[in-house]
Parts: sequence; structure tokens; C-alpha cells
Amino acid sequence: MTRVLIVEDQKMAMENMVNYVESSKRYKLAGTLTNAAMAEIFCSSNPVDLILMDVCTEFDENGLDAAAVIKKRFPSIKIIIVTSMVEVGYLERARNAGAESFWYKDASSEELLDVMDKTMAGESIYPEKTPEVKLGLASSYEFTEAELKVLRLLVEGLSYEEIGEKLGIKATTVITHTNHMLDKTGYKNKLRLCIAVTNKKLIIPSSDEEFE
Amino acid sequence: MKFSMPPHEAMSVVLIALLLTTILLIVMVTVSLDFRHFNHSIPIGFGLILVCVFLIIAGDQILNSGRVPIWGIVLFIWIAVAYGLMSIMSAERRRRKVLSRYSIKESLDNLPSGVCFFHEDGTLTLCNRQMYNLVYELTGHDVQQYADFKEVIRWSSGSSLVDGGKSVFRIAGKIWHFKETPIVDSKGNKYIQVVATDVTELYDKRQELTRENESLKRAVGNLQKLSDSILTETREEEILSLKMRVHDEMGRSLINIRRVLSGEEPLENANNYLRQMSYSLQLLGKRTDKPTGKNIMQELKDACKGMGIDIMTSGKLPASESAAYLIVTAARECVTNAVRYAGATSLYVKIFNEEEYVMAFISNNGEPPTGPIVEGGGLSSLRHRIEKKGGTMDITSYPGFELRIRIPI
Repeated sequence: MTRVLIVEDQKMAMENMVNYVESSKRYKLAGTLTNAAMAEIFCSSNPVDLILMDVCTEFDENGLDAAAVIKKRFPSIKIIIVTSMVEVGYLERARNAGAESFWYKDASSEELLDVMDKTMAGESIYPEKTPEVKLGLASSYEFTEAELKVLRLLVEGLSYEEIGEKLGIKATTVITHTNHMLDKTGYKNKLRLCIAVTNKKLIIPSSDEEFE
Repeated sequence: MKFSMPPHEAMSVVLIALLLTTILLIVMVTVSLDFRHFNHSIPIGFGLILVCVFLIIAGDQILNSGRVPIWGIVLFIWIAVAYGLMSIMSAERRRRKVLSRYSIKESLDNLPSGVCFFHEDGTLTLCNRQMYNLVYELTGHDVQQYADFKEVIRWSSGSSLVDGGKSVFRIAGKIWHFKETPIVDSKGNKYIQVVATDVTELYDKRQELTRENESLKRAVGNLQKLSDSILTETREEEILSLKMRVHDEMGRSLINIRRVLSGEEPLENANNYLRQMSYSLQLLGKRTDKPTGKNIMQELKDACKGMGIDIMTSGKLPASESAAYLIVTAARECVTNAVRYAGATSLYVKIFNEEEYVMAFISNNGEPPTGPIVEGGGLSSLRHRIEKKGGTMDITSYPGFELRIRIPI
């Protein structure tokens, strides 16, 4: 039987996942945590085979960081990142952290149990891309990599020069990318673009600690 | 006029003609070469030699034969005229190639910037049209002394703009930047060069940039508020979607139970449906807001018991939630390291609460470290968080491991 640790700070979401686990004979609940930073200690003192890890947990502790730590120390524990945030960067970060699978709470067509079964069987389930989000006249798929990088920093409230510095490009290039995005979406100015993007959770402005 | 002459005379005429032509050729070549420091003395010298030679020969002729060499005079006049014309032509050619004072002034006047030069004693040596106009616009009269010029710069406060301590003025609708440079010419004379450049476009762009930055700052403020609410909103959306799903499931359970009651379904299924219903009711009944007032330190202590390590604390966690969480985070970091590297069974957390700050000293009963501590991912992110809050973190490894943090509150 696979022993499952659930890391989720939303009580209802957690209960739901607990329900999934307990409804199946293949899985057994090892424990629940509301703070991703406690996962390492839990795994040090309890046997765990699979973790269902939420990204935004209590005290702003990030599940992706916790996943990376756990994969380093306990490489045999499998991790499925579970989130409802459409945030563009999470997929890549989850992959870099070494998480085996990734499941969107609302938008996923696969059932969680299926994903769990496949993951334990050795498969790695990642949605092909983040769910498409409509932004004005455009879809989130229409943005290029470079534009997304600029957009991420715009949402943080940086000036064109600061963005240019951070990305190692000229401020005029940043302005060009911004204008392209405005053209594609049809938004009048970058403030509207940023609001739309954060509203649809395409990009989550990072907490203080993350952003450096 | 006598055109024919005795043979020896004719011979000397030819020789003289040849001599004169040679000299003329030499002069022509000299004159047409573009010597940089050509000066008029060379052709004049040649001319004089020419005249002397002629006079000697002619004089000799007159004295010896009593006859006036008409042909010689004609030849001489021809040469003199030719020479004169050539000198003029070459001077003209030279003039075009050589700089004169006028050419300097003309080119200076054509510059869009204002340029002027003051001698070190203060007199205005050279001023172009643009600079003259600028000064006139600023003051209403022209300026001949450096001291007066400085006065103009200092007191034109009405039109001056503070721009990083530089002399920048608004004159006749444009922005001008004045820059002074001391220069020394090749002879060692000292001058002050003043250049006035039109920086209107630059200045306007900079104003625009400042305005953009200000509106961006306001936007940032708005975005911050927005992003703070995003997380809350997302949580609530999650809760709502779950509630909706549970609601649907409850509805289904009710329908199924009704079917059992009305006999459409066998009684055995009743148990299943009832269980589903009771589960849904339970979920809906549970509180969905965040748990409050729990003791985070106690939570850590409980979690660590399972690891085989006891956390002993002295002093209370500070009232400030963020400071308290930092201390618990520090303890958590230390606990994992203490178990892994020091084989400790106890962790000691001493908390000192002062008015302006709180301190925590964390140590353990395990093996002391063998060398200086290298801060891995966990410790360095802890340091980052503490320093971000304006606090300090120190680690000592001798005589034993101790982590000290100080957080302002």
C-alpha cells in the first residue's frame, strides 16, 4: 500500500484529497500538513511513498521549494504537485524540482487517482501546457518566451530599465515586447494587461521571499 | 627697332633667353607646389635674381655696344607679366587651401552650438553667432568679459533649471547646456572655451521618463493591493467549486434515497447512499476558514518527537506573528541539521524578548561541527528572510554549534 502525505492548507481541498486516498484500497493516508516547510521533518520521522503537494501553503511557504528539498533528501518519495493556479512558471519549476507529476485541481481532465496510479507505476504526468487563458483578444499561448519573461517582471511593478537590467536586454527591447503584447491583446495600456494577467492567475506576483 | 643682329650677339641672346626661361621654370615649379609654410620671400627672391641677371646682361650690352636691347626689354616685360600672373594665380590657389581667420569665423558661425573663447585675462577672443545670440537673449546685451559672463550664468536664475548641478538654461523656448573647458594652445596661451549645446530633446525625454516612472509607481501600488487579494480570492474560488461539487453529490444522494424509498431501487443500496450523504454533510459542516491561534512552536515540537529529537524552549515567542514564525523557521532548520549532522537528541531554543527586538539562541546536544559551517540552501534562505526583515543572523561552530538571530520588532 502506498503511504500518502497530503500537503494542503485549504481544509476543503485537503478533505477532498483525503477522501480520494481513503476511498482506494491501494493508498493509505500517512498524514496531512498545512505548511509545506514541515514536509521534510515529516518525511524524516514517518514513512512516506507519495506526496500530494500544494504550491501555495500556509505562511507563504512554497510547495515547489519543499518538493526540491525532499527530492534531494528522499529521492525515492514520489511527488505530485497539485494546484489551481494557472501560473505559467510553475510547470517548469516543478520539473526542475524533480516532481514526478503535476495536476491542476480545476482544469485537469484526468482524475487525481489516475494520476496517482500512473505516477506510482513510474509514469510522469505533466499537462502539455498550462491551460489556455484568454487575455483580451489573444490567448496566453500567443505570447513568446521573451514576452512572458518581460510580462512576469512588469507584473512585479518594475520599470522598463529595471526589467532590461534583470534580463540583460535594452530598455527599448522591453518596450517593444510590451507593445507587442498590448497589440496582441488589444489592451490599452500595460496596467490593464497586468491586471488581466493576475486576475486570470496566468502569473502570480511573487511573495517577498521568492522574488530576488 | 632692330631685328637682325651679328651672330655672336644672336648667340648671347639665345643663351640669355634660355637662362631666363630656366629660372622662370624653377619659379613656376616652386610656386605651384603646396608648401605648408610657403611664404612670399621665395618667389620674390627669384624675381630679384631674374631682374639682376637681366640688368647685368643688358647693362653690359649697353656699355659695350652702345645699343639698347629692345628685344631684351620686350622679353623682360613678357616674363615679368607672366611671373606676376602666375604668382597671383598661385596665391589665389593657396588662399583657398590655407585657413585664414575669416574661414575660422565662418565655420564657427555655421555651428548649431554656441561657442566662444575667453583669453585667460578675461577678454572675449572669439565668439560665434549662436553664442552671441544666446547671451543676448539671456541678458539683453552682449558680453565682452569673462567675469560678466560668469555673472550672467550665476544670476540668470529666472531662466535656469536645476539639472544635476549643471548650467542648464531655457532660452527662447529651447534648453541649452553651458560647459566650460580650460584649453591651452600650441604656443602655451591659456583660454577658456565655452560651449552651449541644445539639449531640449534630451530634457523633454527626461521629463517624460520621470512622469512615466511616477505613474508606474502609482500602478505598482495598485498592483500590490491587487496581488494581495489574488491569493485570498483563489482560496475562496477553490472553496466555492468544492462546495458546488459537494452540493451536486448531495443532490444525487437525495435522488437515490428517494428512489429507494419509492421502491425503484432495492433497499440494500440505501446504506451506500446514506453514507455518501452523511459524508457530504460532514464536509459542508466543517469550518473552512484558516485555523487561528495555534501554537506553531508546539506543532514543531510534536513533529520532531517523531524524529527522535526533543525541542526545549526557554522564553516565550514574541507577539509579532512574523517574528515568531522566523524563530520557529530557524528552529526547524536547525533541527534537521542537528539530527542529520550532529546526531542530536535535544535542541535548545532560548528566546529573549526586548522592547525593540527579540533574540533567539539555538544550540543542540549533538557532536560539535568539525569545521566552519557552510550555509546550504536552507540556512541561506533563512538568512535571506531574516535580513529582509532587518535582522541579523550569526553562526558559531566553536565550542559547539550555535545559531543566533536578532529580529527588530
